[in-house]
Amino acid sequence: MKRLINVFGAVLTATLLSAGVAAAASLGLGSGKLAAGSATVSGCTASALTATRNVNNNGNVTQVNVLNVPQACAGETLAVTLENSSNGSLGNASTTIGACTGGCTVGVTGFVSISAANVVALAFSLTG
Amino acid sequence: MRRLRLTPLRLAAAILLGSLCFAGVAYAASLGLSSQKLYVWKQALTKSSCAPAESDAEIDQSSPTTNFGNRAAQTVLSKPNGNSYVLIGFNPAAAPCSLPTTAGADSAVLTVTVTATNRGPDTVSAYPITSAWNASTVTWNTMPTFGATPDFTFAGVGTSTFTVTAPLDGGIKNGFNGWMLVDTTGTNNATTTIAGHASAQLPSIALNYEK
Repeated sequence: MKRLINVFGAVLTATLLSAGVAAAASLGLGSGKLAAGSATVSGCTASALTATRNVNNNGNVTQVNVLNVPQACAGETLAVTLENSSNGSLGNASTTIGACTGGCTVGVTGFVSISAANVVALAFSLTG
Repeated sequence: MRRLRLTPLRLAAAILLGSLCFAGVAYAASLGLSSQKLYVWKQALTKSSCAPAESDAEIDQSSPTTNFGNRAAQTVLSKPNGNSYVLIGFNPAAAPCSLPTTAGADSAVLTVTVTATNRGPDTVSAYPITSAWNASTVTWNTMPTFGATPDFTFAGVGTSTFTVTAPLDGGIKNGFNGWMLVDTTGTNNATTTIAGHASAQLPSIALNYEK
């Protein structure tokens, strides 16, 4: 009987430890809002990169240019979302970063009739 | 059917099974987190408006070394020999706009006023100037290069407006050199007089920008 109690105690301890790991993992998942701010996991850059955008003569965005993208980001996916004053998405586009020497400018195209006047923020993500 | 008795050994086995299930959930969650590298950031844009600093000059083929910069009236003339062109320029990098090269135009509207025509009215075409020039020094012999396709055209007396958002947006980023106004109707000695820098109706741009 004493041996059984010891086994039971060990199993209970293992259970509680496992439950703790599971709780921590699910907390990490549930609290991770990607649009809420910066969270660095990727190793290719650790700083917010500056971007410009081009417009056509109608004032619609034709391209977003992200400046000084590190060479280490080659192969990763750069996504851009154009946001309005309510933090809502007006449109988005993405591209795979190609190889370049040193810091390079990455152009993202594919925005459809989005007036630059309505764009008050550019949201970016780099995934690899 | 035989009734299952809960013995200490069976209880321990049940708890162990539960532990493995928790461990499985934890492993799946960490796999989801570590399987993708991620970096996110946001760039806020400041909106405002301004009128870029203007300068203009007339260059005369008949006086190829003389500067006619920033006068009250500038004349475009077309004839077999002795043409004259008018250059109008804007500097969004200078005061009052003082825009950095990372800024951009949301909209830009150019206003040009023609005060008089003679033997016309002829069509005046505005070609984008592609090299730097200075209104205080430019002459026919030192005229800057300009493109082959006009951004806009006009004819006759009066005030006209033109949407020039794309040229200004590109000019903010790469330097803006303005337009070369050329009579493109023919060699009929017609003149088109434009209100210049020293007049109240000087060329102007209403620029809405972001930076």
